[in-house]
Amino acid sequence: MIPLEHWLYLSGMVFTLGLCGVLMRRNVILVLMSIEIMLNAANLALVAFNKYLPPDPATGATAPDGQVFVFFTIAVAAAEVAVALAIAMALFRRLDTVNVDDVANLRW
Amino acid sequence: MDMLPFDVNTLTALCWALFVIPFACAFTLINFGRKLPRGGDWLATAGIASCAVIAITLFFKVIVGFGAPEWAWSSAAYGLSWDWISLESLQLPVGFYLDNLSVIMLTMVTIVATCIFFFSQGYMHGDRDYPRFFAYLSYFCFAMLGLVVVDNLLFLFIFWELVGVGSYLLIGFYYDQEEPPKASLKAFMVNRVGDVLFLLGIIIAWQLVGTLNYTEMFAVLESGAFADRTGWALAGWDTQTLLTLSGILIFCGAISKSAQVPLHTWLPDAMAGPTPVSALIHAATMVAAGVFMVGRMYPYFTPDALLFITGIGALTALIGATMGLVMWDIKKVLAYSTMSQLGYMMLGLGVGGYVAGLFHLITHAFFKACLFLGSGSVIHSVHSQDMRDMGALKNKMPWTYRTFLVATLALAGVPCFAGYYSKDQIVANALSWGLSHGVAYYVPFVFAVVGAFMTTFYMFRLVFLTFHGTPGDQHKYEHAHESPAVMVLPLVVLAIFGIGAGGTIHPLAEHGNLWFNRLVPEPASAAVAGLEHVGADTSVHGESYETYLEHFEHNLHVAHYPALIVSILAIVLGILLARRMYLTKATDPAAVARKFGPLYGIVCNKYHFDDMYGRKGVVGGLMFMNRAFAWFDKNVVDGIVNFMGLAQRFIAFVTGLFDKYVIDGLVNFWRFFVRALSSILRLVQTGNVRDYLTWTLLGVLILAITLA
Amino acid sequence: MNIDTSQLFAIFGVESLLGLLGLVLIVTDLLVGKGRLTGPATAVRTLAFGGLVAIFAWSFVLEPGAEGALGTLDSFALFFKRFFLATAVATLGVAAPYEDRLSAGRAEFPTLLVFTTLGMCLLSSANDFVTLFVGLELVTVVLFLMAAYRPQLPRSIEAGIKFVVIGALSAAFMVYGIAFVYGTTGSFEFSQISAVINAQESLPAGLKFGLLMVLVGLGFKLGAVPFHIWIPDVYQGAPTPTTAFLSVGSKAVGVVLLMRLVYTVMGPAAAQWTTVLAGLAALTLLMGGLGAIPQTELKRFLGYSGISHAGFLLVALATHSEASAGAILFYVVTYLFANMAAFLVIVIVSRTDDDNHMDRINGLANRSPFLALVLTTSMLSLAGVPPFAGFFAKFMVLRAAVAEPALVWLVAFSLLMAVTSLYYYLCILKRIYMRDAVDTGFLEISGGARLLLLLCMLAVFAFGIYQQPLVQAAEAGASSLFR
Repeated sequence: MIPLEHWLYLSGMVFTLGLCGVLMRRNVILVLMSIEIMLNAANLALVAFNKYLPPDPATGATAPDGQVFVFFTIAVAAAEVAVALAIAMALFRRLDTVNVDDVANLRW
Repeated sequence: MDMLPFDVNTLTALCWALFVIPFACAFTLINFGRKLPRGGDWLATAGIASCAVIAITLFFKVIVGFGAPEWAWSSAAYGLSWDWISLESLQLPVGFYLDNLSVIMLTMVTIVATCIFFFSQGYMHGDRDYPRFFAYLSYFCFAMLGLVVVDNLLFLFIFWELVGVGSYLLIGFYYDQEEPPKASLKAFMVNRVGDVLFLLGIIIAWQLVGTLNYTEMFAVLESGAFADRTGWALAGWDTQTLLTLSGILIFCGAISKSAQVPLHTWLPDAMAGPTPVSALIHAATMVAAGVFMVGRMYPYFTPDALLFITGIGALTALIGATMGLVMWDIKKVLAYSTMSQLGYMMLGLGVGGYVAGLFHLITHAFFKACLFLGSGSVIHSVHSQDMRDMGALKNKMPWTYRTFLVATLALAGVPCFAGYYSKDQIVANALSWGLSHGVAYYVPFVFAVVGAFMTTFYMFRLVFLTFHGTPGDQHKYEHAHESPAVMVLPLVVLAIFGIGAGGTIHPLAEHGNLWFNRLVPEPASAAVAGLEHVGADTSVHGESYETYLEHFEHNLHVAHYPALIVSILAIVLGILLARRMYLTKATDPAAVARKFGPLYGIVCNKYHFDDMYGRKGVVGGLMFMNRAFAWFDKNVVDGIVNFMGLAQRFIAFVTGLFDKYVIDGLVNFWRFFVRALSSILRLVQTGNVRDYLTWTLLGVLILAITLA
Repeated sequence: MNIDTSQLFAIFGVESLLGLLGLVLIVTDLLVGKGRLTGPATAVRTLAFGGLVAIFAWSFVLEPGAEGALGTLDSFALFFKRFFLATAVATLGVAAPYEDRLSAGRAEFPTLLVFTTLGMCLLSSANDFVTLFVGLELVTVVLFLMAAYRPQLPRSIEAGIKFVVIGALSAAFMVYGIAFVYGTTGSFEFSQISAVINAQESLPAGLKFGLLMVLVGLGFKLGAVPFHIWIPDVYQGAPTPTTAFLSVGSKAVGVVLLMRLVYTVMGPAAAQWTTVLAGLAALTLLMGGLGAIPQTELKRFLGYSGISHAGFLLVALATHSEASAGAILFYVVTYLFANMAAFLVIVIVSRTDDDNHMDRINGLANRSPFLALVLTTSMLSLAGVPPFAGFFAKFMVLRAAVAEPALVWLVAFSLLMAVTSLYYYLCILKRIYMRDAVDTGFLEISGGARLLLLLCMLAVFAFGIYQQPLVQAAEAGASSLFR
């Protein structure tokens, strides 16, 4: 069986990839996608952790809490993206850009 | 406890009324002032006058009626306190506390305030913000009277802050000019420095004795039952250090509020406010609140803390006086004079002259208010604050001149005037302190005497330049006129107090027999008693504190006449010097001499010396004496005079530099530093969301590294 | 995990009613005068107001004690539910005079407000990371919308975009952190996590990392440095009622969850983090205090002011004692009243052209003495000048912190920053009283607004003078965290 650490390394790499995307991309849509990647990294970690938890001595099985949580994350991320895209759309309509570097009027 | 002027409920209601009435007036005026006839000045004046009636009634019932030095009333003793906070971990009942000192203080504040309200009706006439001015004044009275009647330190602090807000609003009253808004902000900021230290002192005191009620604090302290300090931040410190430290921190509040060195710089700037404000807040009441607070907390101060107070007071008395010497702005002279006199009060309290310091607070309030209002009357008339624009005004403004002169004599401490009785006591106490401690401890006495000399000098310089001599500005002189009755009458009332507040006009009255000394006894030091309980060393120069007090008391009797003589000499020298420098410089000495007829007789110049000695029968050596005095005058007196003039200017110059570059520098530096730092920090806020993310990530990394 | 429906309702009664209210509002919007702007808006606003007030009143009937798998109704939770309901009611009051400026979506604003409030109430009961996450996202996602509520205004969109990017990122951090906490402790429930944490000498690296990530996520909500950076921009850009709600509600969400995590979940183990929290508190105080000085925009200024208040809350959080927890609860309530009053005044003085430059309050004392008085009270309370409630709040925080020997430097620093912060609050007062008015238009104050302002002012004043009931409620609320 693949040890837990490997899953965590993978999750860490995906998280970092997403983070790099957030920092480097200028396009709002791509920034949002990068954040989704980070959330997926977290989901991966949750599922992996759940899989490797010691079973409950009373029932002999592991409660699927982590996997259930992933569904919450996915649902919430979907809602978040819906709202975020709506705002990105408004940005494009009003200011004719989707570049986050162009919206820097509120400062100092 | 049994002697009460009214039943307890009435007394409580009166205490409430004292500060609720002005507050109600302020509230009404700020909201509806413009809709009231005459801008509502009558309402504010009636409000403060009714407070004065209450205070004077109390005064007559308590001071005149009972005349008992130990009289005190505390609402807490009758279960009338109100629990501001009452929780398991925190108890803070609030009530009223009245004793002879607070009744006298209330009377002084309300009388002076009433005079100033009347005066303001004339002085502020036609101002576009007339109702707002009276609203602020009433608000100030509310805070000031509240400060006097509450029975615990935390509420004193709260009213202390409210008074500060009133001062801030009133200094900046002429907001459309350049100077006042700056000055008001400076005053507030400088005061906050002291207030933060004050608050720290209160917190330490609270931890130390477990209560903030004055009577309870002193009772706890006296019994040595200090609160348990385990688990507390400063637990490792010994009681004596903490007690001294908290005392000094509490005094720091008074340093800023009462314009003591080094936090005095706001006071001269505060003169940018309207003159009645300077009279009420920056001469008679608010700045004296610091002295009142030190008087209230007097039993709390350890001998070391008192030493600190003495040092600050002495320095302030001298530095304030030197600064007063070189000002041309009439109000600035008075401001520095106030600062110096506040230094005297602190000095008096510090050396153990509790009664002397507080007595000076009361008498000073009357004649300094009179002086400020007098200067206001002059400014109102000539529309200038520069003394070089004035001169010869005594013909144009006879009543202003007369009252001003009376107040000047009182401030100088000329025998028979009110200031003489209080100031002389301070000087005597300072001398006795020196006698009891040793040579190095004569410094406060020397400072006090030199300060007294300078006080006389600058005050007479002011009088000569303003009211005597020739008009500085012919145009302004021609348009000068006596102020209306509503302004002159308050001056007269205050001048009468300037003579009468001493309670006697006997020049050699025993200090112990003065009305104030009989009614306000010096409290025993609770701090010393408490320290003795916990076994701390309270001995002074190897003898016990009680023995020291006896010595001090004995020396006070010894010091009385020497101090008196030295003070009078200082006064005479001061007047002499002022005359030489600012009067005989006039174009026609003979005319000046004629004008100065009455004063001339008092001042001893070289001819009078000769005459006096001649009449006293030193006929045999008359010719020799004549020549000797002429020589003495020419070579020694002139030399001293010139030297002292130079020295004073030098000291004033140096202290001025100190003020400008060190104190203001520190304040400015902090302001600059904060501004610069904030300008740099705001660069972080680029507006670019990706920069934000980078910063945030950096923060997360740093946090992770810190925790790893 | 056994879930009992009647028990759930006992715990989440307020939330259920809020959900119901939200649905009723949506239906009302559909039924009343479809397509028109003002008709449904008035109906929805009235209904929302009535419903929120009713639920707020009902919350005082509730008894603390119910506890279940997903949440708990202890007196701490109840205290904050009332707090959030009051915030929502006040925000409706701030929104009412603002509504005319919205060209669309007037009826939806109260509906969205009810749903965020639902999320906030959920959070105050959370004793499980699932509830925490769902509640937090409900709050955040709706707030994104409320920040970008005026898409025709560039600044509102900018606020929305920045808020979304930073908010989503913080959510990602948080979920990642939750995953690690779950992985190292085997549970999402606070009680079990707490048991695992306190059974060990020192925290394992994975758990430490997880907790750190969660705290970072909450730091965003609270506005603690270095996670404060979105605050000034979003505050400035978002519509004023949203900003008001953000400044009080969203900050309080951070407070609630941090308190639960630090006091209950971490418990004694939090002592290892005291230095870090104290350092963050100092930085936050510094940033908030210095950042506010050069500001010339009212809402941005209040944003920085809010950061420095977050600093004071962190000082209390670092102290870790029951007294400090009580101080925090007291603090947020006084902050609620002072801040809401300030924002309502901003709405009124910015008038229809929605200009929030500080010039707008110049000479306010002559234009409207009432508004001037309210704003003065609120500023003095925020500055911590006695006898206003803000003074007592700061006093309680510092009094609790003084008891901690390691934090004496922090107390001294907080006092210094309090003095510095006084400077910029005074600059506001200077504008009110000592400048001539720039804008001379008529200031329209509706009866409702006047009532709300009066209420806030009285509360700020009353809690400064007679704070006993509030302190008792706060201490009762705080004590349930330490059982």
